[in-house]
Amino acid sequence: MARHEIQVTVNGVQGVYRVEARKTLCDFLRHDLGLTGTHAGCEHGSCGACTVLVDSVPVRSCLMLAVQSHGSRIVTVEGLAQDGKLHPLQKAFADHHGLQCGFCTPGFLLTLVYLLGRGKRMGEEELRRELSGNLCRCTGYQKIVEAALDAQAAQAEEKS
Amino acid sequence: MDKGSTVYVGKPLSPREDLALVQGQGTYVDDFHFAGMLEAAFVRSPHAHARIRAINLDAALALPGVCGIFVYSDLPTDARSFLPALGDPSLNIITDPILADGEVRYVGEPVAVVLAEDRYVAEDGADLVAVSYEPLPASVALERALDPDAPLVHPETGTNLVGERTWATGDVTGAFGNADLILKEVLRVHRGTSSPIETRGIVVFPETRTGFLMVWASTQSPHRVRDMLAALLRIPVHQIRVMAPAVGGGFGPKSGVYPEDFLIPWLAQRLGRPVKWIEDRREYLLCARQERDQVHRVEIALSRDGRILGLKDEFLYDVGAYSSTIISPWTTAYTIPGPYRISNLSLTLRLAFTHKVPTMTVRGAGRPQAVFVMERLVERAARALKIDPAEIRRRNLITPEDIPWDTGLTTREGERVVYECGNFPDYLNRVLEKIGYDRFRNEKKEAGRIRRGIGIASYVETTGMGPYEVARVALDSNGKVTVYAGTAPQGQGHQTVLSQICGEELGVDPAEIRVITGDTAFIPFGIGTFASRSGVTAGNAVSMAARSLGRRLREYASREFSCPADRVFLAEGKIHVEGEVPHVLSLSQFMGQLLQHRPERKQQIIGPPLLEESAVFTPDRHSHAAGAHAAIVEVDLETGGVKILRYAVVHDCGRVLNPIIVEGQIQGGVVHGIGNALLERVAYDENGQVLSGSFMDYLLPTAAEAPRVEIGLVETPSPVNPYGIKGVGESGTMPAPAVLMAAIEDALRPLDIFVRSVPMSPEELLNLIDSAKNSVAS
Repeated sequence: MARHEIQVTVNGVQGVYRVEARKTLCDFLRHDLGLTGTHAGCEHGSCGACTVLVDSVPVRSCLMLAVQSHGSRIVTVEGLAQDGKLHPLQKAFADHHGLQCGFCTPGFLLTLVYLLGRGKRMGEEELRRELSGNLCRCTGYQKIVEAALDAQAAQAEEKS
Repeated sequence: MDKGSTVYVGKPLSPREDLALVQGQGTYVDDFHFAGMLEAAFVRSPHAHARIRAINLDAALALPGVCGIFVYSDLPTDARSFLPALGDPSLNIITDPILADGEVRYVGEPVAVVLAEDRYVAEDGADLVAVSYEPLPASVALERALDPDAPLVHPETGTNLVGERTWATGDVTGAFGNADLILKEVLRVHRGTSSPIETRGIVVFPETRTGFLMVWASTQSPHRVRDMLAALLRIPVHQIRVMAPAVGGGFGPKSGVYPEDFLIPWLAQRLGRPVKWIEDRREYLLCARQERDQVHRVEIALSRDGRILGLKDEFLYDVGAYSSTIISPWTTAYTIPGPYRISNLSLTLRLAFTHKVPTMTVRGAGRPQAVFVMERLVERAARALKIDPAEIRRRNLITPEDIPWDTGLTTREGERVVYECGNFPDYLNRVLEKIGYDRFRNEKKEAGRIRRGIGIASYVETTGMGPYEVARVALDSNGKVTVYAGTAPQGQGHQTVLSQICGEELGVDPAEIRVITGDTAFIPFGIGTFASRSGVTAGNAVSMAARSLGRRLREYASREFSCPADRVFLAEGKIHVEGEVPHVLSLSQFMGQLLQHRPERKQQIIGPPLLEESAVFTPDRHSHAAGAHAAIVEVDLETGGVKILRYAVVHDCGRVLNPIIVEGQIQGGVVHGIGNALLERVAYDENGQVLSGSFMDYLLPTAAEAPRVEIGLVETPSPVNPYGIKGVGESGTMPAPAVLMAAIEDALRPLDIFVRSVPMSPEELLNLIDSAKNSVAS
């Protein structure tokens, strides 16, 4: 099948790749680039496990084709820690046990990077509503919510 | 061991597994990739019941990239279906064919497997396989499966009845004869799925020169997969290494073996190439084992003051199309009386084949149905006798003075179910206090569109099942400790808790201890992680092995330094010798000394250097966890929507190994139970077609529906295992549907609504509200 050239910047690294038109962004990241931290949980846009940031906006990478990401900047879970230092959300998840099996975790983290990046302070109820596009079967969400609220509070403190 | 004296056990250590996982560094089965690897896709039955007239592979085989397609007749003649499970000759056990054997018996049954150079092409190939089916009538509804005119799932057996079993204790006839009140109900619990966010999957790397098979599987029980492969492929166990890498959730169904678990290794072996199959979500929702379908025709006999005199239950269980994985209904039976003093019981279980995916275990595994039935009856009795729901429970709860309490029932393995400890009234009182039950009862309630109500439920969970679990603890030449365990966790934090237990025994910081689970190469026997058993079984096995290792270390040190063994202590990763000349050595220094070549010491070598100990823990009895839940909900009279305002849990899981992990298990369990109560329904149409094949149709709870779960832990160590552990993985799920239905009914009072079936959708609730209003009006 014909392949198309795309140019994308993934976790700060720019590259030119050739992909089939039908290949999903999720499969491209996982199998072509070896970034296996992005997980496919449902492949129909319902569970949010495959969420990545495309030009700073959370996207279900199972519903986007790799060719559609041409020219964009993509951030996956592998791009969150900087210089060996965990992203504050990663640290909050680890501190609060905001995960069990860890399969949905990258999707939650990237959704939250976006949500907290808006700089709009969320109460617990709003946060829970905003997270309703990401499914977790292990935690019952409580420790995820606690981790996110804690990271939000730390972020607010840092800004003030 | 006295709780106050522990250094590591019971401490809220952050689970060490989490650090890699938050960085996306967990290695799950789909993350393995090998050069020359083929990927598999399945052709699956679109019919619940049909005869296969013909399969045409020509178009699919002509597709570039397709490397092979296999159907039933390609299978080795001696490996065309699973070997029957050992056990119950009274049951009609029919195992799954590895691929459909000329007939399909549920939607999603595998018919052919297509191998191709990548998954996309494999799916293209699967689309091109032309199967000609002759649809046949299907037996779908459980309650009609045993009718004389029901289509038979296995006509050769002449019936859809898989088997029947009865339990009886006390004098049921007498109890019903003396009753002031007899209530009869028909109660139903519907089918659900486990739906971990990672589906099933398996990757196999065959070493063609040696015939060695390396298998990575998303499984809760790698040893079961290995043993099945050894039996069906007829190769020695030592030539198969099955590993459960990071597993993205299990919740029951991943503890079984499936046709794909044989097919993929067989194909890899046959073709001499690595092969991968990753299930997609639709396949999971169609074909992964499910559970919960039960119908109970139940009667309860009561005295005027609300004491339960006896109970009769005839219940029906939906086996699905094959019967090799029936586990849950036995558990339902012995869980029915729960924490209540019921001396006169008779239970009859009937198991029926249907043209649906076979059933096995889903978190709770038969227990949520039992709690639903018992708690519904108690609630109904409270209402009929005008006794407060908390009060009627208090009148019937087994008290500490009754313990040990013999339920008179037995497990499938024949073990008598005896509650060895627990204070059931205390759990109830604590949860009532936590939720503010009396205060809520005395508040004036809104009469508008939004109504609030409170519900409670009590439960007992039989945990820590055998037959055994194995652990090995080894000290390597660098003085590092490694724990190997036969369990296979999927997020339960075994690395953390098992290192805490081992560290406690050896005086080593848990962070310094490696824990290896889910790998058959490192531990020859294991059962796996399911049924709230790992903490109890592996926990005790690790403590036994570590304790033996500690004993040997102290012995060696006493010989080396010529001082009595009771003057040698292990703490902070060091050996402290309090002899005439005190010595403190790190384990690494000690191992160095032990392994040194010392010709002058030939005659008095301190001991063999292989410092490792294995232990098998075989629980001779189950341990019983128990507790009570309470919730306050809000019901919208116009939409039928239910919002959970508060949810409180008091749970006694015996010795708490790590409270952070225990809380996580309970919170996750409760939210699964909420899904069972309000959202999750595997739906079939009358032809057996699956209507819930996506997460748009099969609804899991999200963060927006999940409440904050307020937890109170009680620690009553179980006397039936040395560490006093009780399981915790499933307790959260068990009572949630019962609690929420009681709360919904309370919210809707004075309307007389009684919920007889879960899950309860907003639409069904509106129907109940309407008919209750109509009956008031008429």
